Amino acid sequence: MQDLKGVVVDKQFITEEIFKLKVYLSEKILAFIDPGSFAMLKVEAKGVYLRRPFSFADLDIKTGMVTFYVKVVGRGTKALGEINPGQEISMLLPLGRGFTRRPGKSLLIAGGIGVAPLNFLAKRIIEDGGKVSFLYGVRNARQFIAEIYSKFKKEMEVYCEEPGLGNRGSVRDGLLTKEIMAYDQIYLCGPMGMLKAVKPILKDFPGLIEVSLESYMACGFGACLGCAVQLKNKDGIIYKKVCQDGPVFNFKDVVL
Amino acid sequence: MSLMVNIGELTLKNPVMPASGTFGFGLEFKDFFDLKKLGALVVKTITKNPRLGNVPPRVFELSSGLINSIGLANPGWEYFREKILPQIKALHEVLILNIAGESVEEFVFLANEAQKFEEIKALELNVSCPNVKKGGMAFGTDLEALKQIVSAVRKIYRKPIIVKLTPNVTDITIFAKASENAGADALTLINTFTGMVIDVKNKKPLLGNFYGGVSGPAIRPMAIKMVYDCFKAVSIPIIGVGGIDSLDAALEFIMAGATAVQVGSQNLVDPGFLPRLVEQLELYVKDSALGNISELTGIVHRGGEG
Ligand SMILES: Cc1cc2nc3c(=O)[nH]c(=O)nc-3n(C[C@H](O)[C@H](O)[C@H](O)COP(=O)(O)OP(=O)(O)OC[C@H]3O[C@@H](n4cnc5c(N)ncnc54)[C@H](O)[C@@H]3O)c2cc1C
Ligand SMILES: Cc1cc2nc3c(=O)[nH]c(=O)nc-3n(C[C@H](O)[C@H](O)[C@H](O)COP(=O)(O)O)c2cc1C
Ligand code: FES
Repeated sequence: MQDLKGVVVDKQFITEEIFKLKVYLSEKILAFIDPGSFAMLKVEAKGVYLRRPFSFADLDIKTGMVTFYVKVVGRGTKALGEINPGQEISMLLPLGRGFTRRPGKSLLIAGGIGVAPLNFLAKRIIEDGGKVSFLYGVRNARQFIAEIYSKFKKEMEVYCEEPGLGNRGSVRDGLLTKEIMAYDQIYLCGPMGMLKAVKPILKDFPGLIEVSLESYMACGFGACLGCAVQLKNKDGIIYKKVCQDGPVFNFKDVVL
Repeated sequence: MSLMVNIGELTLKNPVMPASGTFGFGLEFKDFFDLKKLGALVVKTITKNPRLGNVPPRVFELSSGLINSIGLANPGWEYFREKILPQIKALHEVLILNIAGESVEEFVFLANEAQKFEEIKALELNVSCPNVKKGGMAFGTDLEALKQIVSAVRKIYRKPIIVKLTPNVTDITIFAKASENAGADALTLINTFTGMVIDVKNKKPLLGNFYGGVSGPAIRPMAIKMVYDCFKAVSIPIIGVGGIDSLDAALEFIMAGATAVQVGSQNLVDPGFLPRLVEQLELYVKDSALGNISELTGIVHRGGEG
């Protein structure tokens, strides 16, 4: 975990509301970045006090380049979208515990911007020699990251709630067409609504199911206890820190 | 030239320390810098029994700070003693344990336990947390309860006692004086201001616990005034806290009457801030040809300089 300065190499709006941010970091610490881990980025803008968490969406150790996909939702992400190549950005990284990768066939289920960490995970699983099936659900074309789709065309099925893109419907509809028992493990990242919708379908799946969760964070490295989420274990309800114990958790433990 | 200051019988190599609850148990920061650079290590409030803390969401950003309703989430004394204390005692030679209780007995229990550990050099009594229903701030806003807690702990605890007061009272100097009279060796001023934020879109409170504590630069002017007022009212040292995010902000507290300072929210957004503040203070003292930083304590009461 370090507080580093990266140089923005590229910033591009790839849809009306999502931009891609490529940052160059020379540091050795890159080797410790796993899919599912994230960085707290400092946003230099009036009225923005806290840093903002973003998942690593890609990493190229050889060139020192990390990629984020950011959806503009409020003042911090709006300000970040105005950053220009050449500018420096201060970031804490790497933070959190990532996905547990296992051999065999993996099913990846992404909703909206949740595709960002799963893009990185899919790449690593394939590099490890595993197989992936990728379900990618979006509400509309403004949420759709075409360049991720073009990388995983063979493995990916797109579901869109508005007509015009991929299959019509939600990720849940996509999941119902799958023989889930044919997979060894399942990974999810997406909005609460999506997680709730797919939960009953995954109820009897015997293998590992992991989910990357979000919460409002102040520090991102375990110091404030602000990011707590409720999980359940044999003792009942417990709280865990999304930033340090997660953001990746066992799906079966999550209280939805 | 020196940054050395005294808090009761404690001698600190410099007046800079973290504010409880914004520095975890220190372990979270050891990747960022050597904690020994600080004057002391102050850890998250410990209670007798473990506390889960409040329902999320627990934090929300404000334009110049944040509001939190953590609710004193902590693993409890036993776990702290067994699992955490052994790990953190090497981090710093001056460990200040911040404690809270739901009753006078719980404060006394924790003080008694803390006394058994050589590595715990002082207690900070948190009678001021706005985010818990039982005890918490109620003790810090009830003069009789405050006196009872401080004197009961004083009876059994031989090392320095620091009382951390809440700003959520009409006149904080009354509570400052009461703490001094009951045997406190120092005061920490201040804990967070109670506040509330509303989600306009969903027409409901934003924090799971509805209310929270406001911290960060937004509260600094109020905190400075309280330090200024209490400096006149008491003769024990004051540790100033509230929105320190720069050298000047720390100097403001010292000039208003603080002997030492704590940094809270700034640690969360800039984990390397504390050691930089120590370096900047060193340079400042050198440049201004002061013998000791404490010559500046309360200087505005003396009409300043020049
Ligand atoms: C571990 C983690 C990884 C993330 N990865 C990505 C990513 O790769 N790409 C991406 O676009 N977003 C990601 N997010 C969400 C992102 O952090 C928030 O969208 C961002 O912080 C909002 O900042 P803002 O200033 O624009 O919003 P604000 O103006 O602060 O708030 C606007 C809205 O965003 C919501 N919001 C604020 N903070 C968060 C948060 N931490 N999580 C969810 N919603 C929030 C608020 O409740 C509010 O409704 C991630 C969040 C976490 C916790
Ligand atoms: C997230 C958070 C958690 C806190 N937890 C505690 C706590 O456990 N015990 C305590 O005495 N004060 C706690 N505080 C209060 C701080 O120690 C400090 O008094 C307050 O934040 C004002 O300082 P600041 O403006 O520099 O943050 C907490 C503050 C924050 C922001
Ligand atoms: S965000 Fe501070 S502990 Fe997780």
